[in-house]
This record gives sequence, structure tokens and C-alpha cells, in this order.
Amino acid sequence: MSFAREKHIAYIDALNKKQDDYEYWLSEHLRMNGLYWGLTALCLMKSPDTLPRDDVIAFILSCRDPNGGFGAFPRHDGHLLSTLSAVQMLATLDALDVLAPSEVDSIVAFIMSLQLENGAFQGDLFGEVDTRFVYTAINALSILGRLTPTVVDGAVEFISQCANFDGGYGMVPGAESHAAQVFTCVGTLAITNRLDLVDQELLGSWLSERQLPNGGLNGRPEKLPDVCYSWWVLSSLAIIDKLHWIDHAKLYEFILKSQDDKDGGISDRPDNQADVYHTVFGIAGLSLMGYEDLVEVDPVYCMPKSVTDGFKKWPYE
Amino acid sequence: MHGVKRTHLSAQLREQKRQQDSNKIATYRRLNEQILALREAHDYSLESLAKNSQLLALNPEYYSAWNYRREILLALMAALADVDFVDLFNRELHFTLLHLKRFPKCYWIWNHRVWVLQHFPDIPSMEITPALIAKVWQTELAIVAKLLEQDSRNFHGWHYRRFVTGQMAALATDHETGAARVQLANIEFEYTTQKINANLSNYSAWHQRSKLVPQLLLSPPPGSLFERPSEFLTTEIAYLTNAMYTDAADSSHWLYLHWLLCELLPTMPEAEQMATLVKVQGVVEELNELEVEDDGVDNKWCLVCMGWIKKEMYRIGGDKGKLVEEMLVLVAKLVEIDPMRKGRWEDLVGSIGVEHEIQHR
Ligand SMILES: [Zn+2]
Repeated sequence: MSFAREKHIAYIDALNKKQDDYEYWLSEHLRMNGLYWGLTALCLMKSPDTLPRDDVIAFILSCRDPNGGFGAFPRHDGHLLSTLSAVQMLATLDALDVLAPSEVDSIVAFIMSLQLENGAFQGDLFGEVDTRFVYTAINALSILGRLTPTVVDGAVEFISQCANFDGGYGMVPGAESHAAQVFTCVGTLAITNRLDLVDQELLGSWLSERQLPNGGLNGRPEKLPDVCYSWWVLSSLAIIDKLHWIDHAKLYEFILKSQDDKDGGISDRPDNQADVYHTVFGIAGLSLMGYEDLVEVDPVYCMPKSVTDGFKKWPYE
Repeated sequence: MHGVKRTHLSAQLREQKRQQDSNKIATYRRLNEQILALREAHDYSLESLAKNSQLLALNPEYYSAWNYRREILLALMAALADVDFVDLFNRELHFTLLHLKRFPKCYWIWNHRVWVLQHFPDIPSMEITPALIAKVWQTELAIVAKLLEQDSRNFHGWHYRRFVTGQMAALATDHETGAARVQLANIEFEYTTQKINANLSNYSAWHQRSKLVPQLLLSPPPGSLFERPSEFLTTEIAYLTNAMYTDAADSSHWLYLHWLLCELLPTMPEAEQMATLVKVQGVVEELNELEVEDDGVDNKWCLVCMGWIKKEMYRIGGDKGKLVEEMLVLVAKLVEIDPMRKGRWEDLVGSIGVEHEIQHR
């Protein structure tokens, strides 16, 4: 099977035209994230103009919440997850200047207001705490060039408490290692320039054990392989410079087998229903391994490397 | 989307789905529009709460709807509305449980349950007593134990269990807190044993064990094995030996063993460390020989574990030259039997060499 580039592009292009599907309406609460996944996949496939730039920007701005953040859809609540997707897309589209300086200030204030005394972040004011939100906050602030020593030190302190016996990281201190949480923790430590805190040997070993005989990767021991973990595991390995600790050819084959070669898109594993989430992470995995003619992806930000190269690096001079 | 089989619908079936969907879409959009309008009108009534329940039943991932729900509950409390709050909160717990049964991995439902429980003590009612609160957490512990029986690896479940026991410890009065924590940690340690006995590959339970052991060694329950670390280590190694012999291919207990040795050995006299390592090495070598007899090939985890042991021996001061040679032999075998991770094993050859060179300089 070969990489169905044109089909994937057409699949993403058609996503916003599926108003006849019930699922389209049920997924409004994920629309901002979905758009980020679609746009990023298109950029990596060298087709950034498939979604009209002005439409994307207009949608993003229509999701602004008076609380300072962005919601996933107009009239939905501002949340860290959708705020990061909004900021990532504006950066990818080189459109951060559509935000007035005072608007950037209010986004920054929204994010910072969600940091707790122990350095963790909650996703919104209703209190859910998770290393996902630490990564989300630090990533967005880094794109905006607005990290501060207080924010960074607290986040780093919290993340280091989430380390486990196997070298991995969980969602909060005490929680079991999980590849997606590993990505958020290692990603945060990469942005904050504190990878020295990671037990890279031990973590790299645990991550490399995620590859199963069929080439796919799982997120935890004894679980099924899943294309999205080709991203969470692979990007974490790339960040600690151990990308070569798994078998690329076998993973490549697993991702290609998970394509829908008729209607486009990639699914969690072969013969399942494709979705935009697994499509972008499958493609990002291929990019990280250097397969197919794709734009180089940044393992920390999951955005084109050419875009992230322009971000101000921490510590700021 | 996870675990949904792909289907390519025929034109006829697609048309059928379109018609079915069109009714569902109309219902959902009408309800959604009502909820958005009610919220924007700051309507915090029991009627709105009921409508909100309908919407969340259709879409439990709709986080803004959960937020509106909490706004309603907070407003009712602030206004000291004429409702039976204990009953209202119990119904919230019932509501989340109902949906958790359908969607045990939905973050937002778990989050709402936690929020409800944390606000239980704030509700305006004469009947909220410490005994009632304690009973609430006992019930939660029973619920999550049941959930972990159905899916013993659900990480939401384990996370929730830790949260609940944390709350229970916090309930103890100031002078009891230490003792309550120790007692709870001990109960949780027993719980991991029970889970591991039911399924040796329960990685979540081994993980949990690794979190509890340091706590228990630091403040041992009176009369327990944790008061005597080296005896505890011996007992734990015997327990692990049984796991190794039962399922040598599973990574869980191997990783736990590695961690346990790294954690406990450095606290012991060197002679005792070496004796322990020699003993474990003997067990693992023997197991590997059995594996070779059965399968004709070395067991990967036995080789990896022998590598760990030799590294520790090197640290304490065995015959360094000989240990390095033995480690290199192990790694060469690993390259052969585990080609997917060839890059990792090759890096290991390099790092063994470099470390040895630095030591000898
Ligand atoms: Zn997945």
C-alpha cells in the first residue's frame, strides 16, 4: 500500500462539509482542535491552502470567549485545549498579528490565571488538573513569547513530581505512565529547557518497548497498538534523541495499513473508521521518521518546523 | 475515535442514514440552542438543570454544558433555593454514575463527579455531618473497586481510587492524620497484591505498588514487614520470582524488580547488596536456561535483567573487566533476539564501553 496523499487532502477538505452527519454536530466541542489537526496535516502534506486562510482565521476569532481564552466553537467556553489550538493555527498561518496587543495580553492573562499554587494548570476554572494542561499552557505561552520564570518554575516542579518508577510520566503525581502524558511532560520540559530532569535511558527503554510485533505502538503495556501513539511515543523519543530505538520500517507499514485508501484519512488501527485526529498524528509520525515527501514536523509543538524555528527560546535573554 | 470498525455504506444505506441523522440533528440542535439561550439569559432553575441533563445524555463530551450545569448548582446554593440539597447532590452522583457506565473513559464525567463530591460539604443543609462525609467516600471507594473489577487497567479508575483515599486521609483530625495515611497506604498495598494475584500482568497495580512502598518504608505500620527493609526485600523478591516463573514474557514485574533493586539496595551494606544480587542473578539465569530448553532461544527479559544486575555489581565493585565482557555478551544476544530495538542495544554497547573507560582513567 502506498501513502494516499491526495485522498487524505480531499478527506480533510470535506470534513467541514458533513453537516448531514449527526457526528458533525456532536463534535462541535472539538471543532477548534479538529481544525488544528486538519490544518496541520494539510501543511505537512504541502497543501496549506486547501482550507481558505481567511475562513480559518475568521472561525478562530469567532470562538473568542470574554474570559480571554478561546472556546472550541462560537458560544462555547474558553478552555486551555482550544486556546492552544487557536494560537497554534494563528502561528502556522503567520497571522498572530490579527490579535491586537491588548488581546494577546488577555489570552496570556487567561492562561496564567489557571496556574495553581503547586505549579500545575487546570483546564478551566472548574478545576480539572492534568499534565496535558501544563503542556497546553506552556506551549501557548511559548508561541506568544510570554513565558515567565514563575510560570516555568512552577510547571517544571509539578511535572517532575509526575515521574514514575519506569521513567515515564502520568497525568498527576501518583498516576501511571501513559505515552500521551509522557509526551506532554517531556514536551513541557523541552520548551522550558529542563530535559536534564528526565531519566532518558529509562524513559527511552520504556518508550521503545511500546512497539509491538506488528510494528504499531501502544500507549501502555499490554494495550493494543494505535496510530496516535506513533506520535506520542515517537515525538517523545525524538525529543530525548532516541528516535532510532524503534523499528521505523515496521511502524511505517503499520501506519500505511491504517489508511482508508478509498475515502482517505487514517484510523487508530487497520480496518477501523478514519478520523482527523489519527490522520494528523499518523502523518506527523511519518514526517518525523522522514518518510514520504512531507514537511518536517517539530516533535515538541506538532507544527511545521519552519514555523516553530521562529519562536523565542527559553530562557529569554 | 477508537475501536470503531470501518464501513463503506452503499448509496441506499447512506441515504437511509442521512434521513435518520436528519431527525437526530434537528432534536440535538433544538436542545442545544435552548440551553445556550437559557445560559445566556442566566437562567439557573431546576427546569434548566433537567434540560441540561437531556443534552448531556446525548453528548457527555460537551464541556461547556457541564460548566453550565455547575453554574446552575452553584447559583441554587447561593440563593438558598427551596430544594433538598442532599437529595439534589445525590441525584448528581447518580447522574454521573449512569453516564460513567456508558462512557468509563470520558474525562468530563469523572471531573464532574469530583466537583460534586468536593462541593458536598458546602451545601446549605443541617444534615451534613463528618460521619455522612466519611460514608460518602466509603461509597466512592466501593464504586471504584467495582469499576476496577470490570476493567482492571482503567487509568481513570486508578486515578480516582488515589483521589478518594487521599480525601479519606484528609478527613482524619489533625493528630490522627499521620496514622490514617499509614493505615490507608497499607490497605492500598494489600489491594495491589490482590490485583496482582488476580492478574500478574496488571501493570497499573505494579505501578501503584511502586508508589506505596517508599511511603510505607518511610513510615512503617507498627509490626509490619516494612519495619525491616531487608526482610521486606527478600519477601518481595520471592513474590517476584513466582511472577517471573509464571510469565517470563511480561514486562510488568521485571520493571518493578529493577526499580525495587535500585531503590532498596543502596540503603544496605555492600556485602548484603552483593549477596542479594548474586541470589537474584542465580534465579534469573536458571529461569533463562529453562526458557532456552523450552523455546530454543534466550528470554529477552532475563537477559535485560542480568544486564541490570551486572551493572549494579559493577557499581559496588565486582571484577569490572569481567562484568563488562559479560554485559557485552548479553547485549550482543539482545541485538539478535530483539532486532526491532537494535538501535537501543547498539547504543548500550557504546555506553558500557564509555563508562568503563572513564572508570579506568
Ligand atoms: Zn488513538
